[in-house]
Amino acid sequence: MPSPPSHPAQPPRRRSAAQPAAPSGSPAVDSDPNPQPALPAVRWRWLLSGLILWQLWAVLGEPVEFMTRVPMSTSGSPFGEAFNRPVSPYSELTYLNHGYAFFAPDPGPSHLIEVRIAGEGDAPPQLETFPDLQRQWPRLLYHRHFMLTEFLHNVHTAPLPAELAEVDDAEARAWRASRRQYEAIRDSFRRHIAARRNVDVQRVTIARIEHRAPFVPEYLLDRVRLHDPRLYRELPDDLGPMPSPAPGPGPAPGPGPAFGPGPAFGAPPSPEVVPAGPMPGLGGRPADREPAR
Amino acid sequence: MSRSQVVVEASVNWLRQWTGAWNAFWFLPRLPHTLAIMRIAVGAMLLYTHVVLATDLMSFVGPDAWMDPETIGELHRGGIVPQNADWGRSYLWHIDSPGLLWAHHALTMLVSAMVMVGFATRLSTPLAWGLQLMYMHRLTGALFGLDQIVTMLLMYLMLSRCGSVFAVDAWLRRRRPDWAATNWGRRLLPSAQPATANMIATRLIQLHLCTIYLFGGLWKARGESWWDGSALWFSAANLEYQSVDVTWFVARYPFLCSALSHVTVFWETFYCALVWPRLTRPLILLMAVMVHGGIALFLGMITFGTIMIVANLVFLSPCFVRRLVGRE
Repeated sequence: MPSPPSHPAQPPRRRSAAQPAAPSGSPAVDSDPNPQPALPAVRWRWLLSGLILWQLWAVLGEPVEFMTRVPMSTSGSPFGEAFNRPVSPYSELTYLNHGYAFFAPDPGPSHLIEVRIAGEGDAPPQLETFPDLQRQWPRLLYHRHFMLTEFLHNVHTAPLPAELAEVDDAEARAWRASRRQYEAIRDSFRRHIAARRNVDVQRVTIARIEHRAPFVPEYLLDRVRLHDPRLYRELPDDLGPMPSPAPGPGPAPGPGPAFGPGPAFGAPPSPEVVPAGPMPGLGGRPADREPAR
Repeated sequence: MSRSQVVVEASVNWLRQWTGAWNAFWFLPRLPHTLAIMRIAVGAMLLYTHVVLATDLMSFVGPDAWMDPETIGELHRGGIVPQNADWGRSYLWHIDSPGLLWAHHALTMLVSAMVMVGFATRLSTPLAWGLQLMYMHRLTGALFGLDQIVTMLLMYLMLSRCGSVFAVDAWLRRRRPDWAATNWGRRLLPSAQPATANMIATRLIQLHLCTIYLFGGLWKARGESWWDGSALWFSAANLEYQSVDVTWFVARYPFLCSALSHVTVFWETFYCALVWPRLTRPLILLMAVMVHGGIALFLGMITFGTIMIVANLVFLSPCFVRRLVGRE
């Protein structure tokens, strides 16, 4: 941006005693030691101030809406949504629409994919895991593949359970649409693999694999290392059978004792139970994840 | 003087102070040296990302890419889930020809190199930003923090005179003083004198960075492992991120590692306040180098860690940079 010219009809505005000294942070020191730097003309300052405020609004809009989003929900607080709505077209177009939830709210497990290409006849299927540090190099290329597999996991929505197949309210329609979105992305992945391997796309299936980190006690006491097969599990595509109603009143059984010593550093929530999946909050809250962009 | 007059006068003085502080904060001319160093680093990172993309270009932008053009377009237009529609658009959705995609990518790498060396910067930097946006909206799903920060920095650098020093443009200006004095010359090869444009770009980067850290810290505060101190363990023990295995250390020194988890949250959340006073700024920036250096070295994201350190350079005074570099 060119530095705006001063107003032609008047001499350049100079910093003077009437103008306050620069705040700490230091324009007066960071600028050239020119004793009287010129400011842009007033009309330029008004215009630039408006543009600056717009930009700052756009920078803040998405993180505010994302931060105020209710956990387990796709909608934000009424203020958060209203705050972002006017600037979201601009921030989306200029790729400013991020939530900045790096390694947050908790560092979670990784999500990989295993591509399975059915063999001809009795031949065993070919298996390929993405990302793969041995085959995707340099590291940035590996990381792009890693982000794709995380993206597929983030958009995963299970099929609507059979018990709800007849339901056609707004929530069910939204569920079906989310499922169609997941299938569209998954099928795009399948077509890519099929094209690269020169095979029929019907032979390509994709399984989502979750790889969690060992808990510290597992690592120290049981010597479970990061690549231990027990840390990997294939994620189901559907929700499984709907839970039957509880037989009687009373709280659901918890994972461990209600009282007693808390978990040690890096230990699972209850020392008696090592969950097969991630810790609570490590991937079980889809609305908390950064929008996949 | 009546009480109402006292109140009015105090209010006017207060408003005047606000206006003066606003003008000083945004509009005092500033030297371009810090931004010029950042331009070199951002241009180099941009070039590197596009070179890496070129090693498997068709898998990411081709007609049979992981995310093919039709799927990407439907996602952004809300064709499948209407409430997911956004304004991200890219002409790359409509290019199927590998030859054309390669030509476009070669142009993008060339423009990135021009940004890096500071050649025709007043044109190449906006062009690089525009091209970058087209890739960002084409590579949906494959992007991460690196892309967010590079795009953000490019956006603000293009507003500034970052090519007026440490650049081919600066060399051309010295070689062709007659042409540099013409109208076009002044626009395309601006001098390295203090300029308001440099101040505005600097302030926008600084405030954007404060926003990033504030929300990064707030998000971490919503988690559990950043409070019980195990976040560092679960970060270091993530095999897919890991580039150097430090689990043996993290697991054996829970006191130290939980303290680092807490310090990280504190630092991120309060960065937006503590980076401004001269007394705390060096400590905050040192912490930034340590945190992002750690991410770069141990968590397999050397590009992201590096670009975050580059972004933090914006808090260095251009006079300091000029003295440090000792040239121009």
